[in-house]
Amino acid sequence: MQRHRKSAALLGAAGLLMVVCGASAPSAAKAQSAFPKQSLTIYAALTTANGATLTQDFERYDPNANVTMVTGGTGTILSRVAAEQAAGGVHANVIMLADPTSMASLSQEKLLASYVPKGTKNLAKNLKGPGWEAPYLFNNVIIYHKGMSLPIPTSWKDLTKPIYKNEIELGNPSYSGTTLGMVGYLSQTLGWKYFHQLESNGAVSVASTNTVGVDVAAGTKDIGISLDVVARNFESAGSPVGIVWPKDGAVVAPAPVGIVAKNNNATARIFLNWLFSKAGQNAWQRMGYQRAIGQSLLVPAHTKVDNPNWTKIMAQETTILNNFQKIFVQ
Amino acid sequence: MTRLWQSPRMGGHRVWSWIGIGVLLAIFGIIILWPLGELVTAALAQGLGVVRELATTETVSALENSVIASLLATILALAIGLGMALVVFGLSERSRTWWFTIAMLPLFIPPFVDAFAWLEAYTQGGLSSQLMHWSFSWLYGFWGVVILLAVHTAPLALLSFYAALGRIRGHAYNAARIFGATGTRAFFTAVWPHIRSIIPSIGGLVFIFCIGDFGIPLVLGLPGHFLMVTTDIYQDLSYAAIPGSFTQALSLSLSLAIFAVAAIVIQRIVGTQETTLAAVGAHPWSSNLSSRASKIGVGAVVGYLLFVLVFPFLSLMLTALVRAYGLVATAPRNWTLANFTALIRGSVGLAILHSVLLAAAAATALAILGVVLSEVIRNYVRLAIVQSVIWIPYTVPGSVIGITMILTFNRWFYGTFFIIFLAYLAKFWGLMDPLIAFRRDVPKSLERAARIFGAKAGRTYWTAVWPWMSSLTGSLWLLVFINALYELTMSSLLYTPRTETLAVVVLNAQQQGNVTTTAAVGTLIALLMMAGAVLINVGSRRLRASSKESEVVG
Repeated sequence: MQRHRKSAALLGAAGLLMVVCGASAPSAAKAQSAFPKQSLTIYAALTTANGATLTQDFERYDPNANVTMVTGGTGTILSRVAAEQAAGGVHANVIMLADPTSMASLSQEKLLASYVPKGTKNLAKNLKGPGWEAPYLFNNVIIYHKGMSLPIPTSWKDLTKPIYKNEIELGNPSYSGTTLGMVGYLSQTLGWKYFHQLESNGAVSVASTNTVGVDVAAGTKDIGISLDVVARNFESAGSPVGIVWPKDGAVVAPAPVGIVAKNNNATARIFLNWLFSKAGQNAWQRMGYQRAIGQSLLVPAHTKVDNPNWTKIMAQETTILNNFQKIFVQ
Repeated sequence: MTRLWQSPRMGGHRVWSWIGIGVLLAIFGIIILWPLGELVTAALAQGLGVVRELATTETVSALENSVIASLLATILALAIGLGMALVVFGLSERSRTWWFTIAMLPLFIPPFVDAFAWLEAYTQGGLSSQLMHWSFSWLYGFWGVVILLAVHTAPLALLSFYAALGRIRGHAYNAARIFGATGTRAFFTAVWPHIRSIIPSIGGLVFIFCIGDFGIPLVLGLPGHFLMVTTDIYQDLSYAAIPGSFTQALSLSLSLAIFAVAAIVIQRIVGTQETTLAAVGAHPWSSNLSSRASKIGVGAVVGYLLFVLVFPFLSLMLTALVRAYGLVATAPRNWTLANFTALIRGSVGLAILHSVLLAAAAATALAILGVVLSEVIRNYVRLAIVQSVIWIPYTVPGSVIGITMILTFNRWFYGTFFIIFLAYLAKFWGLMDPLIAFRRDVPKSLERAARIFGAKAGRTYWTAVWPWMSSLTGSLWLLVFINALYELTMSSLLYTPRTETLAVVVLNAQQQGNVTTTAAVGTLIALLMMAGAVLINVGSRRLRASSKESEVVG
């Protein structure tokens, strides 16, 4: 009996090891059955579900492509890229991030190929940079809790009114690249006094634009400065969150994509071309993101949107972060 | 010249010992020293930037925050853990085990989920504000982090104090009582000195858990601008210029490692040789709490657990049940099981399976390595230095361990389960320390007796040593399993879609603001773990009962 138990334990242990160590090995049957496919590894700051949708859509478009989609927050993706680069080379063919703040340094490191995808020649100059173009966009907007008793604000300046005292939350540019764009742009157009007024009005800075969305949905705060996609996701799920497109202009944050120079293959270029094609742009729209090319159905007609100069913002990054810290943290 | 070993053994055994030591040192070198060496090399490659970074206000402030918050949380956790240990230990033997298991439950909820559940329970808009119109405004920031770290690590202190109380012999206490001392006086004369002597070692363990934690500072500290080293590194790596942030992350990791080594050295100097996690001993002290004191004590434990565990967990469950976040969670019309069915339909089930198998494999490997290592190096005092080194990876944030694994092993094991498994081994290797230390305290007389009666090495170990080591080996397995299951950042850096783990799902959901999914995953995993804890309790009671029966029959 004891011997049987030992054999069972050994078999169990062997099984465990096989599952743990061998499960990722491609099966022989699979390797033999199909024509050799072009593999494409994408590191993307997307939700897991949207990453899967994008993979399916592209594999349908190019049946010869075998996509490995690794999704995560921008931080996780960048940590991976930095470590893999230090270890001898990045595994990804394509990198997609949620904001362009790190693209300049990736380009300076000569990590990005200088490929220009088809259909991007007419893209606004603030939606592209060395080694990257933005296939979709975020917008910094005002969001609100639908159950609030306060009047709905209509502009950035409204948020300094005493009626909104202690009810406003915004992200932290030290943590969120899209918030850095918003703070950088509004500090240029409205001046730093605007953020001083916000702080005097009891506005609180938290971490990411998602934290702002969660707190506004829960009713912890009535008003937030966040992204249109954050509010849209809550709204479509049925949460009591609404979007205000500020009449003085929503602030755009482009989501960049670039090819890793060392892994620049044909499939990567086909993928980038597809992202900016009509089919690719429709795919972004179906996922709830604003397309970069053509009229987006997600942004109301005649909405004022401002495209910040990201090169200028990144050049002033330290000043922006220090000023913001002085106002909201210290 | 000082010899490396204290008590030379018979020739044949010594050869096997040295072979064993060689193999273990090779494993240690590959899993710990090599990646740590890669970390140091990568840091040195950044030149003077690393040194400059260590002196910046941001680094100093993050280090200060980490040390102060961890110290305060440790003091609170020790007080809570000791209080609960004394109450539970004073109960009848029958109810003790159940109360002990119940008091241990907060340890079985991942720290990240715990913090998230507290937000759902006690912030403005949370369950307490919906039901009773009150909330805590301090949850985001320093106090939120300190309180949650204390709540999460108090069971560790309880586990250690409870085990220690079981080892205290009752003679001195009984003698004091016979000579007319009050219960309190007898306690402070005969029992307290024992407890006081183990506080540094338990405190050291709790401090290291606190300073290396990432989930609680991420959920409660970051939004309140309270950065600890682990979250500062995470923020540095989150965006901005890569070379600068990488240097900063490396230098912060090194500083954390230096702090951890200093803490361990101090702990070893001021601490005693008593180990912290064993529960063996003869004629133990019994506190015999009066019925009134028992009731008050149990009432306090129940009140505490209702506040720190039951109410937050209820809030978490309601959030997981609500069809859209922000709707009134207490209204049944808003409830749905869709968030749970979505998990089952998606890849979450597979991710949970991957995590459970990886955690079990890491726990089993470290338990086996721990038993072998404790046996092989027990007579080689100088090799105990190794014990100080093995704690380093535990204090280095998971994100940095992930990076060191990429630097070291990516060229061979990219995208495999094996690289995640290696990361778990490296990170949690330090948890073997109590087992290795305890082996030296196992009485040698039993071994000698077994040998005199002709028992071979294996039989001697099985009859004279294993009964002492088994419960601690079980504790080690459980601790590694829980820690591996709850880690957040390592597998997020090392996974590919085929090797997705629970951490990837949870961290992605959190980063994407997907609250209901985070709550559903949190509820599911907490329920699984708590059910596991209860099953282990029932199983161990049955095992003890059957072993008592067989002793009687024998």
